[in-house]
Amino acid sequence: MSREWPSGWEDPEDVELDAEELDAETGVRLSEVAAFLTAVPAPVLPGAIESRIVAALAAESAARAENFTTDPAPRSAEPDRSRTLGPAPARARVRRHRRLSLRPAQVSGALLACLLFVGLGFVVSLSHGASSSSSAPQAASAASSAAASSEAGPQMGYSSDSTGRSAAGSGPSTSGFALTRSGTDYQEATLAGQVREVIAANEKAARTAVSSPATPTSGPASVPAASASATQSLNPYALTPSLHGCVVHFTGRAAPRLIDRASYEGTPAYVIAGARQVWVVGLGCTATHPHLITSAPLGS
Amino acid sequence: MSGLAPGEPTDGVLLRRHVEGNADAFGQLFSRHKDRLWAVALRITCDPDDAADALQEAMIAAFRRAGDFRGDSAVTTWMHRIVVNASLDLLRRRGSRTVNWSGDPGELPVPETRHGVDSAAYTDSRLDVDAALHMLPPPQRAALVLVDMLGYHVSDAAVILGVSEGTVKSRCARGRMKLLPYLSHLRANYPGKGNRPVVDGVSSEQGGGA
Repeated sequence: MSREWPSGWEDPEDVELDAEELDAETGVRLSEVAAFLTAVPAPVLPGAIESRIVAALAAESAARAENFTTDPAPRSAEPDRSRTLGPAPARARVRRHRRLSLRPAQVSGALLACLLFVGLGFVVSLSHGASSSSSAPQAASAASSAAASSEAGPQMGYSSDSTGRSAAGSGPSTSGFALTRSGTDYQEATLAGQVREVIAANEKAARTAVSSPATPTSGPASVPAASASATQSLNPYALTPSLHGCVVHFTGRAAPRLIDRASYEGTPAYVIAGARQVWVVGLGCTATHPHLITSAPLGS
Repeated sequence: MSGLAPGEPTDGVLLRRHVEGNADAFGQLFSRHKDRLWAVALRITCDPDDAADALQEAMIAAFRRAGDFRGDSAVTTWMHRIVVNASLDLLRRRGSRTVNWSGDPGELPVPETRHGVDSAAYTDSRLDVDAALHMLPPPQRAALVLVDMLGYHVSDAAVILGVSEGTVKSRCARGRMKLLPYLSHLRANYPGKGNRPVVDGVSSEQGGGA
């Protein structure tokens, strides 16, 4: 564990304090420090943050419910029971039993249903992420994205340590809006036009995908080359709470038309498009520190 | 399990219900311990935005990995460990560095305004404590927060941090030594009554034995 600390984090793990280092007076004063810290009132979780986390958990719960009703096959993220000392959950035992009893035809059917569900979910999230004015579908999109991340396991940085070590990882967390990664290098002179192109490409990709849901890989091929890169890289990632706060800071309650993790004048940046305005912000943008680089009318 | 109304499910029962598919059980668990989990995240990260991110990531991780819980520690200990690790991971990702400090209290950076975090209630002393905590390396800070500020017994803190009890004691002692010159001027003005944790209903009043 100590080897993981970045430089400057001074690791006292290997150097236990010798009690004789402390004289009696210092010991008393250290006790006073401990007493002082003990007396500091604990903070209360702010309602806004609680609401956000409750919403994220609700999205998780909804995604889990969908998975269980549509995917009878075991999830790839199912824990390695050989490392689990406690009793396996009842549902896991049931599902494992069902897996053993499935015939090849049943497995194929379940797999097909799962693929269709994932494909439809992706199409729906594309559609809503690009043009919806309601936050509810986008929350569902984020939930789907979070569920997908859950399936991927390692993308969320989960370790195999069931006691929680590094359980949170570095993956995005669910917050409600979808994030695009178009790879566009936005320029000051053409900002609004480039944003409109990316939005249009996203919308076109969504329409194409809707019209041919059974062959989702054919979607990008039908998109003009100029917008193909944006479409191919479109993927509704969930936002971190910090970025979510950043977006809400600019767009208010209105759902953004685009949140693009791209670059501006060669510098990595987020490009956020509302109904009429475009904002370019730094990657460290939060609600309290928006780090606005520039903004411009979106135009038409 | 003391502290629970008659018929109210224990943490263990709630977690088991969640694993078995109950849609509300984990929310109840979070609601029951949210303030203490928030305190851990906030004290370790020293930033409300980072704390919110860490707590949300931790709760989603706990939600997903509840089936891995082995029951060899209290549910709250397990949840706290996930929050601590999420907080430290976040600081790691952000390349957090400790604050270099000459020893002059006037040179300590004042923490950012706690927007939405009972800012009106934040006293100068609390800001001073927050600033002082920011000086400590995160692992030391985490130990001090758990043992001194949240009142966990050293053995519980060791489980949460995944280190030995001796290491927890050392980190706490070294942390207190670092804070000593800065907090000494505040000793005459204790901020108020402390908060002792309840671990699955069992108070850890004997904490701080480092």
